[in-house]
Amino acid sequence: MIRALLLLLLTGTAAAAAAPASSDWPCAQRLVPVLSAATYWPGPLPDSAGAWRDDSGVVAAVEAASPRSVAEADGTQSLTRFLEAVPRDKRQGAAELLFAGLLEEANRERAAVIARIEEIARRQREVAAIIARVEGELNALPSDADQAKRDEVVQRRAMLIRQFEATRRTTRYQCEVPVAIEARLGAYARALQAEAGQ
Amino acid sequence: MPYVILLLALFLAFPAAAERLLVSNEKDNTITVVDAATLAVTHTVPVGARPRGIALSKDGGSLYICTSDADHIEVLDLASMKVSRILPSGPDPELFVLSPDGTTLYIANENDNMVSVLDIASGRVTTEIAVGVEPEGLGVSPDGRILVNTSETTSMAHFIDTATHEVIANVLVDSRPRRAVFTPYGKQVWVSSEVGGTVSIVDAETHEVIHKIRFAVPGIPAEGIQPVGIALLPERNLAFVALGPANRVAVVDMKTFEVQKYLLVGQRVWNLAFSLDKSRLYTTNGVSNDMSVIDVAALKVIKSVPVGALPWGVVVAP
Repeated sequence: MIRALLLLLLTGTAAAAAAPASSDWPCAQRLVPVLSAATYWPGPLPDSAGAWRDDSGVVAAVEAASPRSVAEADGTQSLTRFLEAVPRDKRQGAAELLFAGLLEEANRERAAVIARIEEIARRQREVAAIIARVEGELNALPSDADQAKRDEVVQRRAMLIRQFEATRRTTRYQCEVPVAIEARLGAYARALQAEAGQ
Repeated sequence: MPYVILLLALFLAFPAAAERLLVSNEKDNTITVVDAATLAVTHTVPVGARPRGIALSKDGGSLYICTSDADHIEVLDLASMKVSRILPSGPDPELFVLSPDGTTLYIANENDNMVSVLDIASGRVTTEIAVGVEPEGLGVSPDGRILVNTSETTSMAHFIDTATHEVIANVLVDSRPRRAVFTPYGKQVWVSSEVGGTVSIVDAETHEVIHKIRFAVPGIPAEGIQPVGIALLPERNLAFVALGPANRVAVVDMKTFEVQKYLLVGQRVWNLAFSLDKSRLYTTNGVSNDMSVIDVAALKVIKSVPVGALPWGVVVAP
């Protein structure tokens, strides 16, 4: 049973190591490190990156909608309201600036989440290697070895496996965070396009 | 004559009223039923854990569902909208394909490197075919004689004789192959590669890759283009390829293999299905939790329909 689990841990790690894009990426979906505007926005965006920061109204609207704690519906509503107050002939331009800002903020936040997931995955590989080492230690014990010593190694191994399993469960949850950021950005993009097109 | 065409075009633009769209929602364990005429959700049916691949029975009365985490296949009766039967599979069935005669399901079990052959009438797995690591996509030839299975980790399309269950050819394609779709006369098999970012066109006779379709969307990096779902429409010489997190469906000329257009749809577009009259194409979008409706004649996205969480597959039922 334990051998099977260990094999699973190690093969799982090997599979993660074989991933071409990022060796520390444990999530099912292939890693896309940076979200690009063209993924969400049909037309061109303002040429100079960061141009949205020159408009204090846009900056405030982006800052109000961007934090992770803001629910998609609330963020969508505040962005829509902001755009409604813009004269019709300037709405398309304002929507583009808003989206450029939201994209930049989403990427900043997402990059931090990705770095955290990669760090967890790296540590997880280290734990898997330690488990393998302890397993070796246990197998190397002579048959007449002291029972207390054997118990200690078995206990250490069990603790490490528990730790590995707990992290694996957390990782699954963590992997959903970049997806949630993408989903909200997409919803914002669609709402802005709809409002600008009115 | 032009009037006939005009009349035909009018009919084509509006699918028959009775048509229903069935969508599997991987995350909230439901099947969403959408009325094709109004695009309103009419039912949300709870099913087993993690429904992914779905297929309509040959008589159109039932929906077969791969409930992956329940490790079996469920049969949803479309009249009562209740699960009427549980069929066996291997562990973690992801998707399957129905034989053209409607009697057999070929099931890809992600966890045991086997394709299960399920006889639907008796409800028994009659054979297990050993294939590559992590079997994924399945396609069956129009005459039912050849089964193609792609394996994610081995990057191969395995051609299997359905009479002997022997692998007759292994074709190397690009990384992480997903779907395998036969052209209607069985001459080619189109295989999408999610990580490789291509669709390989395989000659079904010689088993040679005769062309690789590559995709490039301005402003989207190569790793953001992940082909998965394929829908072929030879009547119009068009193929549609879902490009995952690029949020695009590529429109491809089936003869020249040139990409004609990219349509902006919902987020992480995964699988595709035509309306019965082929006037519309429906897409499942796993991140935006909706379905995009494409007008095939105009090649335009006309609507987004919200469905359940993490929509995976879509089929159209009469």
